Amino acid sequence: MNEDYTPSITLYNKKNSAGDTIVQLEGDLDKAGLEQIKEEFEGIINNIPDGKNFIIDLTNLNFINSEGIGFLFQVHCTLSKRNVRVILIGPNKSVEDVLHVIGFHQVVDIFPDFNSIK
Amino acid sequence: MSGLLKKSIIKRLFYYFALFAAAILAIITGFFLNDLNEINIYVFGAALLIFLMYFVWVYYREVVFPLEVILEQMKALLTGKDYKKIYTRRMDEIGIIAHFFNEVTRSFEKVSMDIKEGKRMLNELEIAAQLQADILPKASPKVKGLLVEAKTRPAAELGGDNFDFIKRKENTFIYIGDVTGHGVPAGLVMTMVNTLIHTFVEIYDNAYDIIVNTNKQLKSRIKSTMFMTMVLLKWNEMSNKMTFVGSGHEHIIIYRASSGTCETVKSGGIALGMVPDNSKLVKEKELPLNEGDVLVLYSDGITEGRNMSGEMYTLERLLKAVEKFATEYDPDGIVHHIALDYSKFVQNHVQDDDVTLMVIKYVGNTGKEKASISSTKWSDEQ
Repeated sequence: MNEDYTPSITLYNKKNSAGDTIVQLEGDLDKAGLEQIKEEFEGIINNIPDGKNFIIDLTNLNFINSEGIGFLFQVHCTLSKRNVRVILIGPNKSVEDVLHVIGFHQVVDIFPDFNSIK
Repeated sequence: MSGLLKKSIIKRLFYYFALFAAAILAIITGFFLNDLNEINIYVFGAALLIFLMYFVWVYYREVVFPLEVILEQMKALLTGKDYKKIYTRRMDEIGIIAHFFNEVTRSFEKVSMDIKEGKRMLNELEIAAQLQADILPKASPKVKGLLVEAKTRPAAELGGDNFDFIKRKENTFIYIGDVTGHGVPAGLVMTMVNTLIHTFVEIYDNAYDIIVNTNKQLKSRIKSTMFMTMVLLKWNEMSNKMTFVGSGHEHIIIYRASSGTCETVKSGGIALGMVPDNSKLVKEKELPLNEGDVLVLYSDGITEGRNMSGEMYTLERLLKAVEKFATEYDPDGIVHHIALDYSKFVQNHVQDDDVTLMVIKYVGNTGKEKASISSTKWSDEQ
């Protein structure tokens, strides 16, 4: 297995002026990738304040499959109960295609970059 | 000194032996210093005997008897008979052996219980897998105007991929679906959806209403965040029309006999179980087909299957394989050869996801029919 086969998750400690949490996902979010980041990701989610936004930066995400989307969907369902809005940013063409095919864009807002967030 | 001796029977025995030896030496020295006479020899002999008997008694009581008790339990354990815990407050070498035995047998008991529990769960999984296998069609169906072939292989005992063929009056409903993940939870959702679709086919005669109602029931029943992608086809054998409703599934591949090339159609829609009401997000569309055209439906386990270098099979490879085999073969041959092509690619890489492949050829009124019933089990046999 080469280095690029497993993903890593980098947490930007950047909170924007509105107090939103931002997280960047790098690599491949498939079954192996999910197993690697699940625990850390869930820890981050527990610390998100209610009523704020949770922005996931997909700019450096190479790949996602239905299982990865299943995880994001779970995150969305958990957070929407606490009034937290999940926003996806900057997916590349193939990632965006997968999100659209499953219909995930009907569930969660996807924007090309931070500036276009509405 | 007594504390030290309590901790070691070996040291204690050595101590007794030293005392014994010292006593003998003292007596012998006494003899050499004094004159030997009869009474002294008897006294000496008696003292020696008493000391010897005491020494043997102590040895038996402190060493041999306790060891026998321990060995009896060890033998019972080794021959699979019932054994008992050994009770002792000794802290010397014998005590250590006894405590060790107790500790080891305690661990055995815990492990054996874990194994029994594991076996029980495996048994139940096997029953559940059989239940699910009973629901999946065992053979590809005979449909007027079509040749249909399907094969599937779950990644675990229970899979999330499913498909079915449901005939009602002049309509045949064909679906392929994929629940997120696999294993027991996916198997349960898959079974639920299968039941719902069978039920709604009895009530509605179009794919749209079946999908909308299936989604509504599913979302209201399961609190979980599992969802299921699906394509539901409806084939009307009187009008020879094929329509479909997509629910977030992979593209539909159409091989056009006239050009010998493939085109892909987006399934559209949104996966089942994502939103409570999908009525505005899904549509029933027509799939215009000419005689000889071939539809290929698949689950992402195929396009995302990896080989030992981490490369994926991809849609491109699948399209090439369809173009190559659809010219030569009917659906049974197409499925067989694509399955082979896929297996050659992934080789020994562990199967991460369920794989399902369905090929449907429109043969119209040529009177062509399936030669034989073929199993839906995916095997790697050549």
